[in-house]
Amino acid sequence: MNEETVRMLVGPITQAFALLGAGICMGFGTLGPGIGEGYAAGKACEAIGRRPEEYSNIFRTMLVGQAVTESTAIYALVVALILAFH
Amino acid sequence: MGIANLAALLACGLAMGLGALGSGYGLGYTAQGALRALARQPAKQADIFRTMLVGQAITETPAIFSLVVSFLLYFSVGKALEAPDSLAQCAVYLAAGICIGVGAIGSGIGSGLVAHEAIDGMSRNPATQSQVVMLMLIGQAWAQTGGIFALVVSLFLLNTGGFAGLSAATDPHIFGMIALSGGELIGMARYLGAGLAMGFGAIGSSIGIAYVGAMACRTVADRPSAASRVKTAYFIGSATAQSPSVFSLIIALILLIRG
Repeated sequence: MNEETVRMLVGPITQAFALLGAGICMGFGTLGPGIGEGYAAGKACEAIGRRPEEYSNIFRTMLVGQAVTESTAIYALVVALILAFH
Repeated sequence: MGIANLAALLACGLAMGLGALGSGYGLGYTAQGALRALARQPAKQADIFRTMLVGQAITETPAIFSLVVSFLLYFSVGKALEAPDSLAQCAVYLAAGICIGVGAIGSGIGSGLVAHEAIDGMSRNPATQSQVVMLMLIGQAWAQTGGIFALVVSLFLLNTGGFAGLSAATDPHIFGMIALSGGELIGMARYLGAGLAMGFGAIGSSIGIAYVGAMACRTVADRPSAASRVKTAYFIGSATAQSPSVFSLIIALILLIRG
């Protein structure tokens, strides 16, 4: 393979790996947040059942906890978008 | 036999093999809940048995999605013979198989979790049976969304076809032993990326949503007086846990459509 061919191939190879990387990033990046947010909400349901009078407090804590958990999925989304439009 | 046919056969096996994993676990877990419930309330045998069958029928659906895609892949073996034998087409078949196979794992496990807790809760407090069964159906349906997203992306992949990548293949180059053009390489990466993004992206959200549903069933059975508050937390919590799989769907569709 001569030098000119290599130069012609660098662009497509870079783009191809960026697209594959975007897919892998988004696929594995959502594994954790999905389970984590569900776990938080599940425990919130359990806690409300135990102490219904503390409903507003539990609900607020659940939402804040989920928002923080969501941030990791958003990191993955941002990186995947950057790679997809590379 | 061309390389695309080999890829279709491999993907056919992957789709059904991985797809049966989650549902198998979920079905067994549902039956385990029913057995526990029967030991606690032998008098309620008919109700418990009926609920178990309904729960198992819904838990079975991700495996049926996998079966459908697996058949589609098997029957496309002959079709690929007439088409140009491209590596992009291999990527399409493999991506479709991995997408539905892996995507069905979460939904299968999740549906089983919900049914287990619902049947268990129903036997602890038979007075709440109708409410708990309704929550179980909602929770199981919601846990299916990941599998349905994966099915949509798989069918999209199978309908797009990798032959589109060939039109850009004006300048074939040699990578080691394989003749592969830049356009075809980008096509392969795009299809595989979309399949991986949606396949693995569906697992987490499905299990998370199902866990919320399972805990809601348990709590409503144990404390029916708090049911309305628990349901509010359940719906909002599940909707938030859904968002990662929607991100995955967006990225998968961007990868498929753009280009």
